[in-house]
Amino acid sequence: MTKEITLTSIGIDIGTTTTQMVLSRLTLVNVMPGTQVPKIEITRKSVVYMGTVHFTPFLDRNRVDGIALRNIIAHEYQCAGIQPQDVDTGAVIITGETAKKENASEIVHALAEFAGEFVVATAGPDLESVIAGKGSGAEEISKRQHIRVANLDIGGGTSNIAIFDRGVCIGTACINVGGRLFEVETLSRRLSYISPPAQKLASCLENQSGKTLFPACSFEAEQAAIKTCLAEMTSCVDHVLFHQPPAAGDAALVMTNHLPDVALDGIVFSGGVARYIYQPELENWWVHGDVGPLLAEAFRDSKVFKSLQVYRGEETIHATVLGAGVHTVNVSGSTVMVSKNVLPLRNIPAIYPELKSDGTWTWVNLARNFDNSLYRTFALVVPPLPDTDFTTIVALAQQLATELMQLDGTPKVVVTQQDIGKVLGQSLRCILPKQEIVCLDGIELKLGDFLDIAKPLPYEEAVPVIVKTLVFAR
Amino acid sequence: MGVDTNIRLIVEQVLAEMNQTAKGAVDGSVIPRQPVTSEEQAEFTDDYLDDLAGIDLQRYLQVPKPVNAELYKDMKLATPSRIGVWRTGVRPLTDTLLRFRADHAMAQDSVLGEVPEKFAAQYNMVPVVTKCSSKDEYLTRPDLGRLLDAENIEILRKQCEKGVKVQVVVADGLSSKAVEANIPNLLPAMIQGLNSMGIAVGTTIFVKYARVGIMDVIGEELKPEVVIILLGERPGLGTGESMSAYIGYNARRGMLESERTVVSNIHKGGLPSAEAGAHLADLLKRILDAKATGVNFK
Repeated sequence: MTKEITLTSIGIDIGTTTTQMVLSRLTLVNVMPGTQVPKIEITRKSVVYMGTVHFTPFLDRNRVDGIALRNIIAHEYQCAGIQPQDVDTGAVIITGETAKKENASEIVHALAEFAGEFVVATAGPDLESVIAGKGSGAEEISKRQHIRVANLDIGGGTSNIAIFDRGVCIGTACINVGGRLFEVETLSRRLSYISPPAQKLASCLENQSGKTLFPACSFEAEQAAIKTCLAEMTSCVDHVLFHQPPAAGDAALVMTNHLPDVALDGIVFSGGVARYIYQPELENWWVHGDVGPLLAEAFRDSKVFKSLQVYRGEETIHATVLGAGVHTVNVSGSTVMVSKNVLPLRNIPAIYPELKSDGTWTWVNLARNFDNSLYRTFALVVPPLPDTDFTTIVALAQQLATELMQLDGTPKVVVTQQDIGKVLGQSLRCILPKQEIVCLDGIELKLGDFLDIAKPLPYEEAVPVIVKTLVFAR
Repeated sequence: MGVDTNIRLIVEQVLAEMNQTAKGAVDGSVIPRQPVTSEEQAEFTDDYLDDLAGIDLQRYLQVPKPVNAELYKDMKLATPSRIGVWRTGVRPLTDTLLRFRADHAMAQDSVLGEVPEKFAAQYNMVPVVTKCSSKDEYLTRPDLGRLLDAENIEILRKQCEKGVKVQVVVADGLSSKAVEANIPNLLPAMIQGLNSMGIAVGTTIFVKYARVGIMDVIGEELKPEVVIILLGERPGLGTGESMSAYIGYNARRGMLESERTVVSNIHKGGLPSAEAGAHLADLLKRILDAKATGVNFK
């Protein structure tokens, strides 16, 4: 009799520049002996297939080529030797400039047969920052060494910053700084494309200096102009990380900034450009048809690189895809209540309650926001209780029962952080004997989170839970 | 100037410096106390002193100037052990020593204390007592804590149902405080869970001066399918309120210790009591289905 369960998790990262897939296996084991209250832990995370890095296919500058993308993923599934039905969980992360509305729906549509109901497309710079920081190993470095480090994931179109304080992410930011904001002809090495954010920055610099940067009259002038812009970009990252007053050009670059004003102990670089920061190589800087290596060079001159201790993570270019595939799974507490045969559940919005004037909570109003055919059910989040006495829990169960019956979804899902999942679940079952109930504990959720709940472990009741934070800070 | 004079000068200088550093060290390490004037001394009462036992040790930071305060806090929160307690010279601070003795006293109180008389009636339990006649006898004669005399067996026969699915027994064991702290939440949660699964529970029995083995006698007498005994654990310096549940399928005289299933560490900082009740209800259901406990139950 095995007390182990293996989950197959897939991560797909569709960025401005590249698309990549990773397949990993997570082993979950009950680490407590015999009939002791079980404690489930993820004991092993292993990458079984690391896909090749593909260029994200585009129809034109703005629209992703859905059919080509589908073919890439189909090819990767084939190389990995898996079928879509073998996948238990995972995430598709659509990032950077690709994450525009029309593209997101196009991608979801194109990948439906692979992702289907199993994997959910998610997007958003905050989530990407956190995921990249986990995948690069910055989170682990911060946790192991009890320090505060920033992860700077520099991709094609955006740089994502996440600050980890002793293993906990305390803030994110997203800046339009990337290796592919300028593209070059690989033969002539002349500029072939300037992206809108780079254009905005350039015109801002032109206004300041009164000199025209682009188009440049000679190769040398063009190089100088590019380097001026890149230096301006890295100093924008400096301003954001060190909370310095923004320069005029920063407005064109900073997309989101939820970084707390704290001192940093170190920095980790990830993303495609990071490789060139750790191993400078300028001889053939144009090989990718962009200015990534030049941007890396600019970063080596920046305050971030020079004044902070630079740590090296485990991953650079694969950070985001690894984070998406490997680091999104949590395990619930081990004393939970789950009605038979209702799992797995996918893409359930977490509903945080409002406090009513009489001191009780209500979930119904907020749940109505999600009351459409897209979602099968909701997860009602129970805030921390002042005590976990039986009478308190029964009173809560009664309150929850009334609210749950006003909502259509099934099964009824309740999530708490305190260790009360089983007793609350049993109390709910007494009140609502005919309803299917899933009552989990040990999971911390925020408003705006979505959940995947996988099947429980054999002979155990703990369930793997994937929390998808779509909005990090507000 | 001779060599002797030189050496004497050096020694004097070193001694003077040592005195200086010793002074500095003492100043730095001892938390300064308010000097007490004679007037204030007259007003001194007992309630002026803080209750050391009321301090949450995991949040009590005794190192005066930690190099990394955040890390120090994290380490303290990671374990209930007495780490980072600072020192005076090579000895622990008075605070630390007194708290240690207070916790030890609390543990002794838990062992020696009695569950209030009305407790059994409050939860509709049938009260009986083992062959022990006092706490001292209970502590020195474990064998008597596993036996009931004819009179008490008669009480069970008269007041308890025979042949129920689950017979619940509550016992003071080695901590009366554990019973008072956990039963009010654990018992109703467990019975609610069992009832909702349609499992019949007999009248709960409260046994004074009882050891785990008392379940054998009760099992033999009332022939329930399963006996579950909830009793206070021997207290440690961390908590005096920890409770264990021992479960025996087909409990009878002469059953082996290996035939019992145990769930331990039920208290606020471990498995909270209401959640423990729900967990035990599920566990009992699985035991009834498997018809076994202990090593036979997988």
